[in-house]
This record gives sequence, C-alpha cells and structure tokens, in this order.
Amino acid sequence: MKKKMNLRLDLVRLIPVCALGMAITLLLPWLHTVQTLGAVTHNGLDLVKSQNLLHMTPLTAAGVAAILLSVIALLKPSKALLIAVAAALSACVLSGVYALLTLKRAADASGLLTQAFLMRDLGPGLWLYLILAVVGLFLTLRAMREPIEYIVLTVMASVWLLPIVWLVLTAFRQESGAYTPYIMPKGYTWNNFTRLFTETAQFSFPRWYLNTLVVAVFTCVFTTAMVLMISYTFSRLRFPARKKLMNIGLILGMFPGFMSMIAVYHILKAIGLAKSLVSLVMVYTGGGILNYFIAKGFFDTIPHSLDEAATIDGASKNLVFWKIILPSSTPIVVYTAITAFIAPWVDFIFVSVIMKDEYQNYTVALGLFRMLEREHIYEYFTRFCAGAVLVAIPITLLFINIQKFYVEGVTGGAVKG
Amino acid sequence: MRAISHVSALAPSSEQEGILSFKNILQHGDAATRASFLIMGFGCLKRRQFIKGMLYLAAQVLFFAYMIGFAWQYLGKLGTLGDQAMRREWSEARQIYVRTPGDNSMLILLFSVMSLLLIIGFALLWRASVRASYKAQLVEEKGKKQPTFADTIRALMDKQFHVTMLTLPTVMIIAFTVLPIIFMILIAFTNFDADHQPPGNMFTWVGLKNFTEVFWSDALKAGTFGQILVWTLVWAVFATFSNYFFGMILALMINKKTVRLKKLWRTIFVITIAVPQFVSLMLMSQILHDQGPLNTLLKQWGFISENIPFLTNATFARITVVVVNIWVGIPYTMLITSGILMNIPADLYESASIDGASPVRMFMSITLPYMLFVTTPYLITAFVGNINNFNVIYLLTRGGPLVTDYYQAGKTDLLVTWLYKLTVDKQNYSLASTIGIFVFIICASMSLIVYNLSGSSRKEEEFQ
Amino acid sequence: MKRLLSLALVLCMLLSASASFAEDIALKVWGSQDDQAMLQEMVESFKAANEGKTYDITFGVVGEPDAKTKYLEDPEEAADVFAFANDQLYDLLSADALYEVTINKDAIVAANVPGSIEAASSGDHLYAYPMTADNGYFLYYDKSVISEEQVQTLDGILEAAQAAGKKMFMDVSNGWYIASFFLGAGGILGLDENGKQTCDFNNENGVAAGEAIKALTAHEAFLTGDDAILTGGMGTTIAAGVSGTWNADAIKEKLGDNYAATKLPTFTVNGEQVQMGSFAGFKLMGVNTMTMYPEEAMALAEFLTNEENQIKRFEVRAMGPSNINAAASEAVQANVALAALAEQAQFAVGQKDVLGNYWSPAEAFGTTMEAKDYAKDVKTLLDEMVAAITQ
Repeated sequence: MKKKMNLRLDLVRLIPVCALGMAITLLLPWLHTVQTLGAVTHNGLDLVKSQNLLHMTPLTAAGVAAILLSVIALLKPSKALLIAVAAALSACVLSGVYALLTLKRAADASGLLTQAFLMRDLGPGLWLYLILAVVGLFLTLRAMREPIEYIVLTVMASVWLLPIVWLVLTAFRQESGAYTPYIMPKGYTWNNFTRLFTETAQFSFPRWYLNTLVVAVFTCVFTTAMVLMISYTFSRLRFPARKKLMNIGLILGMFPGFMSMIAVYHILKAIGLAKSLVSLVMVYTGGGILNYFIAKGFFDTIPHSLDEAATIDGASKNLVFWKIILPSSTPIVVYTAITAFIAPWVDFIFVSVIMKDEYQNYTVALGLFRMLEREHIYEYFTRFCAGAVLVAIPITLLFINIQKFYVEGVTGGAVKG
Repeated sequence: MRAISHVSALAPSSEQEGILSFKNILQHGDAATRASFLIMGFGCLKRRQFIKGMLYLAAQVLFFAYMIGFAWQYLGKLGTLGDQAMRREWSEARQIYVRTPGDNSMLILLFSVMSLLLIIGFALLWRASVRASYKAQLVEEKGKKQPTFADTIRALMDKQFHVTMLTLPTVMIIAFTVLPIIFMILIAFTNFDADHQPPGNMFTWVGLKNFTEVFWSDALKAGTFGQILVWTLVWAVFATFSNYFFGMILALMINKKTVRLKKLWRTIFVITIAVPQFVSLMLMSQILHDQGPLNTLLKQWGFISENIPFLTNATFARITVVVVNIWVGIPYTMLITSGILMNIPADLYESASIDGASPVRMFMSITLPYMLFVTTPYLITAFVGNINNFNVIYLLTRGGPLVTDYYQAGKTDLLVTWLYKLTVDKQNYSLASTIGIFVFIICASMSLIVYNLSGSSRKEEEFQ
Repeated sequence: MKRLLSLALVLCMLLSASASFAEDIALKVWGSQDDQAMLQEMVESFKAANEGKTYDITFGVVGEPDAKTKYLEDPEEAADVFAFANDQLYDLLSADALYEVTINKDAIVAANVPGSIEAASSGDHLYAYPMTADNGYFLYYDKSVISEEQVQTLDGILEAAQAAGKKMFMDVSNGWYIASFFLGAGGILGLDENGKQTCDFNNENGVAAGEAIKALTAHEAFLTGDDAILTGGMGTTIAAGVSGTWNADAIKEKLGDNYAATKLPTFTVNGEQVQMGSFAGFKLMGVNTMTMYPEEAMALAEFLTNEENQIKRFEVRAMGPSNINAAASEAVQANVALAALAEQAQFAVGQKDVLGNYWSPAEAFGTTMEAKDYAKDVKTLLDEMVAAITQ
C-alpha cells in the first residue's frame, strides 16, 4: 500500500501518451511522397525501408518496447515496471542519437535520398522522437519520485564525454586525415597504435613516452618533497621574515612563466645541463615549488595540539615533521604529487625551448604537438589521437583511484576559511 | 651555526643585532676575529672549529675564482651591454670572411645579473662568517666549550629547522625564478628586438622608451594594448565566474542526497581532466573549426546552411573561448567545491525549508554567500590564472581572428598570448617584457591585497 | 649550493676549453623530421668523398619553417649547416647569422636557377646555397569536375565547383596566399633606403584586388582553412585548391586518376582578367657564422645542395630542384605538381623584401574578408593594413 503511494499515478498516465507520440513521429516520413534522384516517386517510408537504413530498426524496437511497458505500467503500476519503462526510453534516446549521427552517411551511401527529404521529413521526425523520449523519461523519473537531476547530469556527461569519445574513435580510425567531413570513421584499425611503436624513425614515440615517465617520476618526488618542506616551514615554524618570504613566494608565482624561458635556458646551458632530461626535472621542480599555498593551508588545519605535545616530549622539529605532520597529510601529499606528476605530460612550451633540436630527449607532449604541424597533420592525425589516448590512460587511472585524496587535499588547503 | 642562514635572508633578532653589529665586532673582536674580515673562517679555524672554518674558506676561494675567471668579463660591460659586435675580415688565404665573435649583449646581461646575485649571497655569507668568528671568540672568553659541527647539524634539525627546510627550495627558486625574472624585467629597459639580435648585433639600454610607447606615444601599440587589456579583464571575469557557478551547480546536483552513483558521475567528469589539456583543446579547436565535425553535424541536421564561424568571427570566438573554458574548467571546480559544499551546516537548510524557501532562494541566500566567503582565495587564484590563461586561448584561436587595427594581435588575444607571439614570432623581447611586467604588477598586487586581507591570512593564527 | 654552482661553472668552462682540442671536425646539420634518413645517407657519401678527414657529423631535427626561430634562440647551439625557407633570409642576415658564400660562388650561381640565387643573395653577396625551388604554391584540381578551359579563370573554377556542389579552396587568411591577388594586380612590396617596408596594396589597383578578394570570399563555392582541410576534403567536397608541393602525395591519393595541377587562374580586376601572382619560394642551406669550421661547413652545405643530392631529394621526397640540370631531368619534368609550380613561377616574385611585419596585418585583412565582416569598406581596411605593414 505504502509502496504504491510513492508513485505519482497522474504522471504514470502521461507516459504512454508520450510513447504513442514517439510512434507517430516515426511514421512522419510516410506522409510525404518524395522524388528520388532517379526521378521515381516513392513514399518516404518505402524509401527508408528499401534503402536498408538499418538504424531505424533499433529505434522502432525501443519505441515499441516503451509503448508496451508504459501501457502495462498504466494498468498495474509498480516501481519495477517504471524502471523498465525508463530503461526502454533511455534506449530510445540512445538509438535516436545514433540514428542522427549516422543518418546522413547512410543516406549518402544509398545514393538515392535527396537532401530535402532528410531535412524536411526524416530530420524533424527524429528530433520530435528524441524530445518526446526525453519528456517521457522526465515523467517516469517524476512518477518514481526520483531526482530529475539524472537527465541533466546525463546530458552534461555526454557533452563532456563526446569529445573524448571522438578522440578514441579517431584513434582507431582507418583512414588518415584531419578534418573529415563526417563523424563516424569509415573503418577501424589498431594500426595507429602499433605504428606509434613500430615506425619510430621519425616520431620515436616509445622513447618519448619513457622520457616523460622518467621526468615525471623525478619531478614528482622532488617537487613533493620541496613543497612539503616549504609549506611545513611556513605553517609550523615561526621565524623572522616568515611573512615577508611568503609574500615574495606569492608574487613570484604570478610572473608569466614563459617570459623567463629564454633566461632559464641560458642558465641551464651555463651549468652544462641544457638539452638534458635532468634540466627538465629541474625546471618543472623549480616551477612547481611555488605552488605551496595549498599545502600550507592544509597544514594549517592540522591541530597544533598534536605537535605541541610531541615537542614537550622532547621531539625535535624534524621529528615532528616526520612523525606527526606527514602521517596525517596523505591527501595533500597525493594532491601535490599528482599535480607535479602531470606537469611534464602536458607541457610543450618549456620542453621545446629547452630541448631544441635534441630530438631524442623530447617528451611525449612535444612529440604529439609536432605531429600536428602542417607537414605532418594529414598523415599523423590519427596517430596523434592514438598517442593522446595512451597518455590519457595512465593519468585517468591515477585520477580515478585517488580522486578522494585529491578532493580532500584541495578542499582542505585551497579554501580554508 | 649560521653557516647557511644567509640563504633564507634570516635577520637576527634586535638584541643579537646589537652585539653582532660590525661596529661592535670591530671594537671588541680579537685579532683572529678581525682577520676573519679578510680571510673568511679564520676565527673559526683558530678556535678549532675546523669543518666550519674550512667551509667558509673554501667558499671564499671559489668565489674569487669565479669572479676573476668568469664574472668580471661580463660585469665590466653591464653599463653598455657590449661595445664590439661580431667582426668579419677577408682572408685571402682561406678565401672566406673570417669571423671573430663579438660581445653578446644577452649573455652580458644574464651573467651580470647572476653574478650580482652571487655577490649579494657572498656578502651575506661573509657577514655570517665574521659573526661566527666573533661568536666563537665570545664562547671562548666565557670559557665554555665550543659547539662542534655535530651541534650545528643538530640545531639545523630543530631550532634552525626552517633554514634546513628552506635552503634547497630557495636556491631552486632563485636560480629558476628570481634570476630569470630580474633578467626579463631589465630587458624591458633595452631595445632587444628583431633588429638588435645577439650575437650578430648588440642591444643597449633605452630607458623608459618601451613603456612610453606601449602606454601612449605609439598610437597603434597603445591602442592595441588598451583593447587587449580590456578584453583580458573581461575574459578573466567571465571565465572565472562562469566556471565557478556552473561547477558549483554541478557539484550540488551530484551531492544531492537522492542522487545515486555519485562516484560514477564524478569520475565521468574527472576523465576530462585526465586528458592532457593541450590535447583536449586541440580537439576542441578541431571540433569547432569552420569545417569541423560540429558544423558538419549541424548542417546535416538542417539547422544551418552556412558554417558557424565559431573561431573566426570576433564575437563568436570570444563566446566560444569562454564556453570551451567552461568545458575545461568545470570538472576542477566541481571537485574543489563538492567537499566544501558538504561542510555547510545542514541546519541552515533545514530552517530555511521550514520557512518554505525555494531551492533557488536557498542557493542564493545560503549556499552562495557561504561559498563566496570561504572560497575567496580560490577565486583570486582562479582569476589570476585566467589572466594568464595561455593554453585555452592559444590552442583554440591562437588569439585570432586577427584584425587590421591591432598590432600583431587578434580579437581573442590576452596580454600573455600577445607577449608570447611578440617573443616567439617577432623576437620583440623588449616590448614583450614591458607587457609582462604590467601583467605581473596587476596579478601580484591583486593577490597580495586579497591574501593579506582575506580570512585565510588573518585567521592563520587561530589554529595555533 | 651557490658554491656548487660556481664550481660547476668553472668546471664547465674547463670542459668546453678542452673540448676544442678535439681533432675531429665536429659539425651539426639541421633538417626536417622527414629528411633525417635521407640526410644521413647524404652525409655518409660526403664522408666517403672526403676520406682524408675525420668528421663527427651530428643531426638535429629542425624543419625549414622553424630554422630562423630556433637559430635565434641560441645561435651557438644551432647547427653549423641548416636548411631554411628563403623568407627568413632577411631576419637571419640582420642577426648576422649567415656566412657569405665565397668559395665556388661562380659555380653555384651558374648551376642554380636565377630566382633561387636572387632569393639567397643580398645585393651582390650570396649568403646561402639554393636547395629546392618548390616552396611556392599553385592550383590543384579535380579533372572530373573542372575542365582545362574552366581552370584558367577564377570565375570558371568557382562556377564549375558550384555546379557540382563542391568548393574551391584557398587559404585567404594567410599573408602568403592572399598576396597573389595584390601581386597579380601589380602591387609591390619593397624596402626603402632605410630598410623599412614599403607597400602599395592600398592604391587603386590594390583596392580592386581587395574587392576581388571580397567577391571570392563571399562566393558560395569558396572554402578556406588550413592544409588539413584541403587534404581532408579534396575529391569529396573540394574540387580545386591552392597549395604547394608538400600536399602533392595526399591530394594524389585522394583524387586518383582525376589528379591535376596547374598555375593559378586569372581573376577580374576592374573588369579585366589578370593573372594571379605568387611568392616564389625556395629552400636554402646556410652556414652558421658561429661555426668552428667554416670551410668544412661550407663544403658540406655545397655538397648537400649539389646536383646529385638535389636529384636524390626529388626522388626520395619529391622536392623540386633549384639546380638547373636536375630540374631539366625527365622525372622532374613529368611531375605534375612541379610542372604546375614551374608554370606559375613566371608570375612569381621573390620574397626577400618582405619583412616580418607583413604577415599579421595581411592575415588580418584576409580574416576580415572571410568573416564577411563589412563594417569597414575595403579601402579603409587596406589603409589600416598598409599602415601596420609599414609601421
């Protein structure tokens, strides 16, 4: 009894209406007679059938399922049934979007359908179908008293993921070239990945990947160590000029970095380190350690009573750092480490100034960037995407696994009130 | 004990200052201490502090070797930045023009700055050595045992721990940040541009010429500067606040109690952070290109018949960069704000909902004020970050679309991208430095004021 | 730490001092990424040809378009011998980057086409070794869409492309390509006695050319973008496009049997048909003034650009030779793209007198036209453009 009260029956009644509306929109093409390029007159639905535009099948199937389920739900409302309705409607949306993405290609491939037919009849029908499906979903969620945020979140998630999906699709695309006048690749292949590792004469991707990994690991270690040192000092130790030094650090961090690139290069050259991976580590570390404010803010939030007690027990400041502060700072250590680890993967400006013609010491970002230069983009664009995917994978895994620490670290440190 | 303290620019407390002033040391120091004025570490050596004494002495020897062997040739020419360009002489025997390298203005300037910093460092070290000698003398006069080198190390692990902790980072910062910054600031007072390129040519000091040009005397440059400055600020405001609000709304949606699969939602958005920014931005610029997939799709669907100039029309491009920046930035804001949003006291919302406040009302009167109060420092960092947001602009539009009434710049150019183009494409280093200084002043003064006035700084001591 | 730094400096000086006592002739060569393997082969044959000496020749990856920028970042570390595009000559000379060619000058002048020598010279002085003569542009087209007659005029091309529902591609928002209109209409980019840029693109003829650009960009069949657009759409959505030899392979692959190339078309100025001009582009090889071994570097540069190696460059990378004999070979003559380039060459002008200030304003004008932003008239825009160019 109580369970049924949880559903809003008035809304349940509206869902089948939506579903029926969707069915009608699918029939829209049938209303029109169309002239094909062959000057024969057909009705639209015949064409859709005869030209084997198969993406209409899942669309119809999902639509029929939605109608059936929603009618049953109307007769015998239950949560499980409504979930099934929601699933069917989601399938409608998915197949609808897929149809939209492939429609033009399929139509072009058939060589018969005219542009006007697509724009005037099939297109609006599909759009109406999609809108009704979304409205249906909305009603279903409301009827179940589930948050409608799901719809907004799904839409946003797809907007955010689509470029990534496109990147992955292109990484597997068979035909080369950058701006193709269509979305879905014509064929798929692993070649873009394998060629990154086999054809290394021009773009020695494996070597660059390794370089970046090495630089990233060392940068990460040094930066984290130094950032922790600085922030601990500023947060816990009291000494003259502390405030002054902190402000200086703040100001220095504001200077546009690449203004100093040329000078940095010559300094490195003067100490005999130009064009080496060591110099990259030094530069990234030197740039990274000025970002100590977040870590310092985090340390400020660790209760002072802890280290005071230890100091009374005779622990030195050094010991306090290792035994008290560090163990309770996992989030900020992880945050600092990730930020430092990522820097070498994404920078292409500093590395190009420092490495210049020393091709063997490029990092993966610079290498990928080079693939997009005018002479290479046609041949290498798909390989660029493959390389980008390979770079993104480790960072993604890293992020997913330590997301929690990242959030804690940055909220603890960045915005302490 | 103060062997390394010079690095952290540590000023001794005032009473020590009195005893350790040079005047006092000169009056009361014995022969060995006075000798330390000339030979560093002499006093320490005499009082059997061998390691410390030797370190001082070694520093002095190395410093003089450096000055004579290296620094002098550059420091001597700092005033003119070189007087002898590269020479060429016809050699009949070799049938070529034989080249003799001349002065390299850039290296003169760079190494002079470096040497000046080293001289300052050495002066501080010298002061420390004199004081150390005098202290050793005082200890001896009192008949106490001299602290051993091990004692010094121990102090560095405790009372002087800040010295230990800051030395290495400070050296790194001086070498890779301070020195380059001083160098680039000085460049703004020279005529280092495409026509004065070392090593073939020399550049020299021109005083404030670059500043007057950029700010008023050169109509084209001053006009460009003014318009780009306005756009930079407009951009920074829009970019910062759009990200802030939309990110917060996203976080609120995910945080809503009844929403399930929170981790999944967050992960989806986090994936976009994980793709290196230059890759995702290059992708975006491809997607939004006149001939890119988005235009293709819109045309196929019949919404438009002409391509939308997302990146090539000034107004469209300006909107596009802000929107793409939302795409890039929201996941970060979402991560940062979701933690704080959970900290908002729940009873605030409860009493508001009893009063019948709508969700929008609650957002406006509870969430927003609380968040704004707590996240001011973050907002400032984000604002400054956006003023310097090179990647988003450069990778999407390269500053374009270019217009005929701008000097080497386009409608979406920020001050930073403009100065980058001036440096890399036009080799106009002096103009770029001038702009850089200006950007730097804006950012630095803003963050200094805000950090020092904001809760973060004032409440710092509350935790103590 | 500072002590360490100064120590390192002293050590570094000692090291560099001792390095100069090495007996090998150490030279570095810059070439683009695609050229590396070929360059190595060439250098091997250079070593074989000079058996008496021991060389230590290394390679750096810096393509011709970036050579100037990379050189100026640090001339000492730059290659002893490097290839660059001829539009960089002025900037390189003003940085005193190039050794004047004095050994075998007459032979080099005689062996290469006059345009390439002119592009490598300042006054009577030759500063670089001509390497290729293919750094220019011309028209690629789809034979199945555009007839040989239609391809003669811009209007004909646009008409044919539109009839087929396709586009004609030209990157108008690029100073290099857009110049073809102004140059065709008789405009001149030059230098005054102080070495400052002069430009008359805002005179009557220039405005007429500007109007022609406006008409082109407003045409339905017009398409702009970068090379990736052209190579991506050629054959499917694009029927003709202005570009250079570097895209020849990609376009050939796309068009198959319909692949064709020719000189740029004529366009309408004040009601008359005028041939489009273009910039003649050459790739040159220069010797760094900072080199320790000028004679050896010159010998290497000369070797790398001699007839034999220019032929090799053509065979391996399809680069058009500047060497007269090499260019006369049957294989070169049969190359469709190079033939088109040669045809266009008679209407091309050198790029030596074009300074760095030209490019952005010219691009800005093209961008405004492409965006169909007609808030200011063509004359005003051209006035602003010329003011910025001659600034």
